[in-house]
Amino acid sequence: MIELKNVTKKYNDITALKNFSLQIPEGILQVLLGPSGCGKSTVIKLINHLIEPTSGEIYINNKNINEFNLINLRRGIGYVIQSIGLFPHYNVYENIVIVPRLLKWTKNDIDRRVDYLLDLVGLNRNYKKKYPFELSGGEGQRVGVARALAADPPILLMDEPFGSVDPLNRERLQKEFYRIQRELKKTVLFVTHDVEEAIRLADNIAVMKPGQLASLGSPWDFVTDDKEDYVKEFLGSEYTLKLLTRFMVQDILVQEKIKSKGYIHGFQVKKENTLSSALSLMISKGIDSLEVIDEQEKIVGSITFEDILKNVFRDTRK
Amino acid sequence: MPDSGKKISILGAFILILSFLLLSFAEYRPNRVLSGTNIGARELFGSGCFLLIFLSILIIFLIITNHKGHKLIITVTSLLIMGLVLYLFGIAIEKETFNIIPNGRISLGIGFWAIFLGMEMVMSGCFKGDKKCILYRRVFYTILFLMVFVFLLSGHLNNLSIMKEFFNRSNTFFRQIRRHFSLSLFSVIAGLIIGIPIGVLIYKERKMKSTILFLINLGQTIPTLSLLGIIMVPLSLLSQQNKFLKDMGISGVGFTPAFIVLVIYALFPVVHNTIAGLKMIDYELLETAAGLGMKNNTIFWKIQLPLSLPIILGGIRIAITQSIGNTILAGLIGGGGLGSIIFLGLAQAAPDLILLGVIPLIAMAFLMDSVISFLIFYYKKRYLGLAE
Ligand SMILES: Nc1ncnc2c1ncn2[C@@H]1O[C@H](COP(=O)(O)OP(=O)(O)OP(=O)(O)O)[C@@H](O)[C@H]1O
Ligand SMILES: [Mg+2]
Repeated sequence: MIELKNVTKKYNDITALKNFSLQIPEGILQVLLGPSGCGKSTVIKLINHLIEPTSGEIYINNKNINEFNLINLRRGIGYVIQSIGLFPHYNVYENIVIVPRLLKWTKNDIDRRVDYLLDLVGLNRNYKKKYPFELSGGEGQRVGVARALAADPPILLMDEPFGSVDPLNRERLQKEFYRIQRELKKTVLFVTHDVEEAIRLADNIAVMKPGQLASLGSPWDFVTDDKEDYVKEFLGSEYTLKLLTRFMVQDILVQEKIKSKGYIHGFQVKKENTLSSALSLMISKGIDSLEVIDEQEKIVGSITFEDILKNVFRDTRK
Repeated sequence: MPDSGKKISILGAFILILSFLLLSFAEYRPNRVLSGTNIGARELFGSGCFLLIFLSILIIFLIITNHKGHKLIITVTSLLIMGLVLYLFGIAIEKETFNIIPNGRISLGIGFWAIFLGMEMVMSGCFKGDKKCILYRRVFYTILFLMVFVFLLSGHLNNLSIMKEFFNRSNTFFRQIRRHFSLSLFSVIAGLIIGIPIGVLIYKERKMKSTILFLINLGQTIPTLSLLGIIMVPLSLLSQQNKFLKDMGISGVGFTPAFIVLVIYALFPVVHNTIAGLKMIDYELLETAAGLGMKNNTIFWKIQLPLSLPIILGGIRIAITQSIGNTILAGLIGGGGLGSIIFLGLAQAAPDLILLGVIPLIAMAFLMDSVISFLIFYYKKRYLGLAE
């Protein structure tokens, strides 16, 4: 668990954070969402103790970070920096293995780990010998993520890790990362200013305004009307639509409607597609129902526009 | 080739032609002291002179037509001209006319220096604005040096007075070259051993910066000769009083004061470039290194030093070339080196003797400069992906 208690950080006369408090329970992916310059990177650097708070305390697993051995603390935290920060004189392999080498892993373990990580972030294994100047921004960023994951740290601090990846690969990385996170249950602080990315990944979202926390909650919590104007404005009026990306068709699949054919217009959607893509299809075809198919392209049910209306935000609507 | 480059090259080629037409390429003196007679290219090279002029015109033609691959052809033609001049010169001075009087001397005429100038202009114009300009020109001069070297070894030029000076003192000559080189090299190595830590220290403790840099800059602004004087006085006093120092051979003259002065001079570029190299590194990279859990020591050796190495090497390059030049002064105070040959030449008003000292000096500086430049080039390309 990571905890910031009333943390204030001043850079000379600029107050980057003012009385900032945040708790990230173990195994939770906490997204920190906010406009440029609001202090997101500052929060991250405070946690791995790259900077010292002006006042306030920071705890990891209920232990004040001042009591940790600084070096061990940092080696136990995976860190993806905003500007990628690959070392130009190290090739991809050498960049990734920095922390495992510091931890004195065996060569065998390291090699196996690198292969695993490259597969994970979707880079060809023959990239190992490439130097950072030979990589595109997105490829570099994926190496940066692999480097952070290298020693399998329980805590991850990710500062806009997918910022310069193209949309297609970003979505793939987000999905992949979501999957790994379900599996590994690391404690993650994920900084972004992309609302959709926050929705896709977050267990919890913290929306920041300059220097302060504006609102905190699960992605569903932000659908309600009781948030302050700043938060609503930042999340945008299409927040609810974007939230549909968090649901899959199978979440609201209704089985029995298969039989009443004719009601179905013959367009199909995969059951693991998102509700937003199902809705898009309905709108573009001007219909209000779809057949749902599984991996074998067998029809397993159907969904209607009404199903979406009725089921999706049932709990949050008041 | 850009227009400004063309103009320079064409001017250079004209200088070549005019030199072949008008200037003297050899000066013949019946003995070392008497003033001599000048011999022009036509007289010296015979019909070969027309070939040389033709090749020079060819260069102008190539520049103007801007033909594909003209840079390579111009370079080859230039080398051909130089080779031909050396060859024809060698043959000419072997002729009996110059051997009648046993003490007769032939020196290089002003034409030689003029065609060097012309050649340099052709080359610099030719590669102006080219990214690899420095590399090409280095290759050109390396080949040129080799050519001169081969002609010297071939014996064709043995009648040249500079060669006679050489044969008169070939023993000391090579000894002085070695001495010169080791004095320059060791002073730079000592400069590195002292200078790099100072640079690192100044980089880390910014407060100390102004004081130390002031001292180092001060050392740099004092003329070499005065610094030598300043060092010699306390050093001789010390060695007179301290038997241990005296036994070690440390005294106010000779090797020690020269070495100390050279080290002080080498410090300046080394310290400056160490600071500049370290400063140039993106702060975020250092923060990342720390964030990944590297210790400060590791960060220095694995990140800071490798990343600032090209700039530090640049400092070493300046230090060594400068040191090779400054080492001449060692000759003044009995420290040996090529300076002793040069100053002897000055004292005897023997230009060939001066040349005998200066030419290896230039070759040495050029060689070291090239070697380190190549190291920097290779390192940047290989490890940092920066091609220059
Ligand atoms: N080292 C520093 N010295 C002075 N001011 C700083 C420093 N680092 C950050 N700041 C200031 O603190 C504020 C917060 O910076 P921070 O980097 O945390 O923003 P951010 O939310 O990460 O922004 P972005 O999305 O653009 O990365 C900004 O106003 C910034 O100018
Ligand atoms: Mg930031």
